[in-house]
Amino acid sequence: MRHGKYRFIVSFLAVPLGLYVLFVVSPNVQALIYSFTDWSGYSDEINFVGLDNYARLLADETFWIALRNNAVLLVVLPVVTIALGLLFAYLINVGGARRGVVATGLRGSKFYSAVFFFPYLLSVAIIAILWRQAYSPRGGPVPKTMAAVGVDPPTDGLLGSPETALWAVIGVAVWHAVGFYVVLFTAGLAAIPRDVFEAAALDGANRFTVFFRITLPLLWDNVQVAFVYLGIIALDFFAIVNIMTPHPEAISNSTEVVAHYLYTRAFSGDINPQYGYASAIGVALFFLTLTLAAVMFRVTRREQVELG
Amino acid sequence: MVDVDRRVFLRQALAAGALFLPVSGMMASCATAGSGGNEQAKGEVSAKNPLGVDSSAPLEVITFAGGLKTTFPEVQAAYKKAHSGAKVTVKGMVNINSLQPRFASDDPPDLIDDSGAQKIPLGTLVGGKQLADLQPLLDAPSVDDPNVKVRDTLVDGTVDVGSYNGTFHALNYVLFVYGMWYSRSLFDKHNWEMPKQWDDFLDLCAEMKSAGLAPVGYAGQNAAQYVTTTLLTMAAKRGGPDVLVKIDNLEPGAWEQPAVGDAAAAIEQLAAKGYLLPGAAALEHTEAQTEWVKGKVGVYPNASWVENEMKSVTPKGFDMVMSPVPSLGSDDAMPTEALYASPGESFIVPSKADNVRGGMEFLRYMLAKDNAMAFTELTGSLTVVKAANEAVEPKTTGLESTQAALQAAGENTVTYIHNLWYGDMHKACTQAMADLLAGRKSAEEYVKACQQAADKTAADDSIEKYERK
Repeated sequence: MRHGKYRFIVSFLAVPLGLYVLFVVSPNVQALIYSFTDWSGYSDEINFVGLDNYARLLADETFWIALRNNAVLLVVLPVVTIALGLLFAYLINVGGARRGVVATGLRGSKFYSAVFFFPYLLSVAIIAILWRQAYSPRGGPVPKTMAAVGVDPPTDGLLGSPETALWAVIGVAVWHAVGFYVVLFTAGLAAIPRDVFEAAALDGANRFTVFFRITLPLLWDNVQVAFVYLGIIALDFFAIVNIMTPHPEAISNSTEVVAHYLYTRAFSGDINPQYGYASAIGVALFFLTLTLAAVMFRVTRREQVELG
Repeated sequence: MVDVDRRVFLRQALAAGALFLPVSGMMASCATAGSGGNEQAKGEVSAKNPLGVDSSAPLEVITFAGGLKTTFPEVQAAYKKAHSGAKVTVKGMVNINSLQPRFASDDPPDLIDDSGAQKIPLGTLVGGKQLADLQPLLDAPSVDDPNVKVRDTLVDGTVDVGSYNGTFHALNYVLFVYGMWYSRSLFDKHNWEMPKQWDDFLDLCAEMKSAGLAPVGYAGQNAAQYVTTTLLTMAAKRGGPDVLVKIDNLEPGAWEQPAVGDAAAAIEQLAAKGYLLPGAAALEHTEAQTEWVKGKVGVYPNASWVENEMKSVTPKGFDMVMSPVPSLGSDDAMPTEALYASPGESFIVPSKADNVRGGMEFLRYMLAKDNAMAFTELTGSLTVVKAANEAVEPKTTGLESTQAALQAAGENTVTYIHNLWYGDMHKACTQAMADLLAGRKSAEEYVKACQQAADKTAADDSIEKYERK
């Protein structure tokens, strides 16, 4: 029986595994090989240069700036997105007025969940272009709103000032992602038996206590999943940066991220392409992502809360 | 319910992946395998066929479909007429660097307009010996007059800009003229005139500002380098064309020449006095230029492509025209008519192409006077064909002013090439320019940052160096 079970699994996985090897494993291995060469990408001349590319990488100022920005993203993006996602999910599902002892969502919660999810349905490219317009210092709604509420928007524009540009793109990413996590946490909340909330309500727990003592611990699994997903988004972050600030050097590299720097080194029209060096950046990013995944696996090994 | 533990499964999957590694390694070596040397198509050399084109060999041309959007129908017809057996394919493309796999596998097209934001930087192709030497084209008789060589029909600087350490690799077909662009009707309305001296220009800026305009426009996100051209043109006018030659040749202290410092100080004033378009640091070139044609900006430093680029959004009666960048002082080394004129749109013939001679022949027909004039009429851009530029009758105000400025400048045109040769240095200088315009750097700091970038490039042995005269 045990033997048959494996054959069963393998028969299902052969095709996807083959595709995975062809399109994921093989390019990764090729990148690793090219990272030890001086290949331009165009020439048929390839010389192995050992660890030269990696030595250059360590001395490359822009790479470190990009890495620092990724680190900021890695912390800020998941924390803010998850916090907002949890808050909205809680308000929509259990944070509303109580009918007797039954906790319900705010009025119009169905409408809100649709609205929150809507940005997630749009492609990142569309969103980035939309927000470029919204941030425009020449009459965009965001600076106008800021001025209306008494906050002076920077004269160089939110995307034109090194102090604000990164936060502006993070804002867009949060806006894009939060709807998905509202839905994820809503599903998580649905799995929590109502009587738990009722019992808490009968014991006189207020909304904060309910949230921090009951909702959050019972949603912890979902929160961890969200951390992994958002961490991966934070380590990539190519699309939004490339569309909203295609030339990060114009704003002191304040929005440069590793994936975009890699792209610049391989595909920019201004700099001689260096596929070998770009591959080295890619390999570095690969190991960073792997490390993050490993750390996450370790952290999430925690015991589940059993609900009987 | 299958109860394989997720972790155990993942571990096994990873191990399985490792087994495939050697196989992938073999595939990697396939990806870059070349097909070896190509047999060049060759025909009989004759008076009618000076380049010895094989009249039956197919020809594949890639044009840039982003800005100019022409596939040279007249040239195609002329080529087919001369080589009746040839199948000519001309295809427009936007992302020229998507030809990368064809270069890597030694199967490139015969002629490419390597232009646009996704162009292939030529240094890479020169370094890999992947570009044909276009010397035979320069020495071939021109289409219009067999007694005149192609070389002698070209605008000065065309050979310089396309040469890499003495070998001519790229024919830059379009002559881009840089200057201060403005709306003639707007200037007429206010009774303004474009000043010839910088101090007068600053006075005009003050007037424009009090009239509610942003005096000078630029786009910080992706086009701060237009202002670099303004700065370096002023420096060249002040100190002579050698100022730019020294910068291109990475001579020690080239950016610290007094003329460059003076020009940087002038640009710094624009930022310090608040004469730049507010918010320009966050704008891309099309956004900022749209503000300009909407009449919110007085002067926009730009090149002659702007007229065609903004055609669809420019209101009727805007009448954009250009005039040369102002002189820093009346004792400048070059006259105030001096212009920055640079051949652009690099047409290249890959050395591994099947029909190298055909690629050059197509270029020879492009350089015929009538075909160059047809190009100018279609795109509004001048070419590097001298006779065509003089003969063409401009249909737009922009082209008219460009042609007049070029005539007034005569021999006094300048250009720089380091932006094409040294990408990292160019990027660093553009970053410094963005900082200067946003007030994050002073003129001195700008010069220092550029000099540092130049020194870094000069000291880096991995960067191929070029020289110009």
